Amino acid sequence: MDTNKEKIKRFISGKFSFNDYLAVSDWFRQEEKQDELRMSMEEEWSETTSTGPDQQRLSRVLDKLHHRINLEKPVSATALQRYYRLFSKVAAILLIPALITIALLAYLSTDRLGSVDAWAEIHSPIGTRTKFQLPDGTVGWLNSGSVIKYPVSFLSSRHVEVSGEAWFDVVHRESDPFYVKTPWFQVKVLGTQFNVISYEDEKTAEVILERGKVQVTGVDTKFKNTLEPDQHLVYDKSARQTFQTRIDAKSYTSWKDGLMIFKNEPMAEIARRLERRYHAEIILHSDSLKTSVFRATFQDEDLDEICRMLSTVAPIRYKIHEREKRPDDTFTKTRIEMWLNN
Amino acid sequence: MTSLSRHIDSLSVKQLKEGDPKAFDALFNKYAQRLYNFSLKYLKSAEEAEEVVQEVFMYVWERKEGLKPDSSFNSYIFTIAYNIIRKHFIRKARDNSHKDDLIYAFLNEENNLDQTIDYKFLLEKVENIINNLPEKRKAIFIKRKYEGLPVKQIAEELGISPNTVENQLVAAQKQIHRELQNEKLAGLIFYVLFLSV
Repeated sequence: MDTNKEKIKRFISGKFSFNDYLAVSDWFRQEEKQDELRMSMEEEWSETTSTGPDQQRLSRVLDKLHHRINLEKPVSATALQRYYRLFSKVAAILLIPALITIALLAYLSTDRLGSVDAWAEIHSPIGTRTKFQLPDGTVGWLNSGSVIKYPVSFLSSRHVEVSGEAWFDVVHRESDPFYVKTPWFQVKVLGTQFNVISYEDEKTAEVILERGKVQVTGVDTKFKNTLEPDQHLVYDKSARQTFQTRIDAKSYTSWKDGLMIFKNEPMAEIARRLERRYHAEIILHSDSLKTSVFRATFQDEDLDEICRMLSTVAPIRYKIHEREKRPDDTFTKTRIEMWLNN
Repeated sequence: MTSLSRHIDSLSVKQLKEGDPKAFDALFNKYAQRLYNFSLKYLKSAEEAEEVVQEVFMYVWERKEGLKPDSSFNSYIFTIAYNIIRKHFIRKARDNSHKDDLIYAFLNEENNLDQTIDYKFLLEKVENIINNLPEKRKAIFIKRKYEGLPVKQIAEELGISPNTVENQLVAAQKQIHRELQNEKLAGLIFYVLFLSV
């Protein structure tokens, strides 16, 4: 009969049997064997060399650590560091609009009706949010991967088209409503703050009203709903049905301030919003995880960090699959798997 | 551990205690590769070894105020690593437990439990076979073995009888077993000595 020591030696060398593995497994699990295991590992530790070809991997780990350490810093930041951080935030806000590609698809229509269609487009690249201002003074934010289009003749009729997610603070103009068009519905606005979600690849399109009043009219499906503040309209694209619920609008529109607020929401909904914000795919393994309810606020954290925080407050485990390069040089989405610990 | 190396550690630890990020980097550069190599021996996975390095150093940073410059940093970091590796190992063994059961049954039948095997390859093989099960059978297998749902609940969820669930589970196990046997004919699951010398 081999001793544990021999079994673990073989396990470490990589040439081991299934029984060796079971024994090592057992050794790790049993509380009363820990002194022995610890001694054997300490011996192994003293024989472990500091050489290896993993510099790149490890410098990536150091980067991640720096990032996490910086997130914690506010507590002990010096005045200079605070200044620097403020500067980098301001710089980011100033730079993002520079990334916007404004495409003027200007062409004169020879259409007999004589309509002049010149459109401006604002794109918000994936992973960023972009502030915009329209010619009438209406301001808003575009979420990650979204586009807003408006006619250059905007001032004579206020029509915009949205693909993705946008938040608006519309300037009130008597008898000149503001329209937001999506492939599924049109929102008629007098003067108000509201949020529109219409991503092509999602099952639903939505409107969330923060203040004022809006009227939502279906495009292919016939419906006309009037929303009050803190109401949420969801249009199910395949069922061609609308649902209206009462929510805390602020927690849905806080993305524009770089915050993600979840107030007692099921993990399935949280995952959906994280997927949208971070262009990721989140797989929840088990129904009880999907329905677990959380309360959390995230501010400009990266997705790694959010997963880590979730796993420290809840019995959750996760695995991040980094983005992979496809043959056509595009990248797959970051994929995250989550499990509930039993 | 030479006394010079210990002296350098004690200086870095003193600076780190005062919050100096450069000292943190110095300790990382000195120990990270060794920690990585060490973790790899037990966890056999590059990603997990990387996670261990990260967790160990995060732990060091978060508790830097309590560091003791006069005691051995080398032993301190070993203790943290030991605890974290143990946690990972146990978790991984639990995640793999249903695959381990299948591998055990298969090797036992052939009296190969003491034979040197390519365990990682076997795990991947089983995973692959599970992934390629017919959709419905796979869904049932995963709900039962990965998510640990009771047979009755699975039956209700899928709108089928508990008997059907049981039958599908047995069929899944048989199929995996059979496909593993086919693999064995190729002799791939056993450790090939000449490759590793």
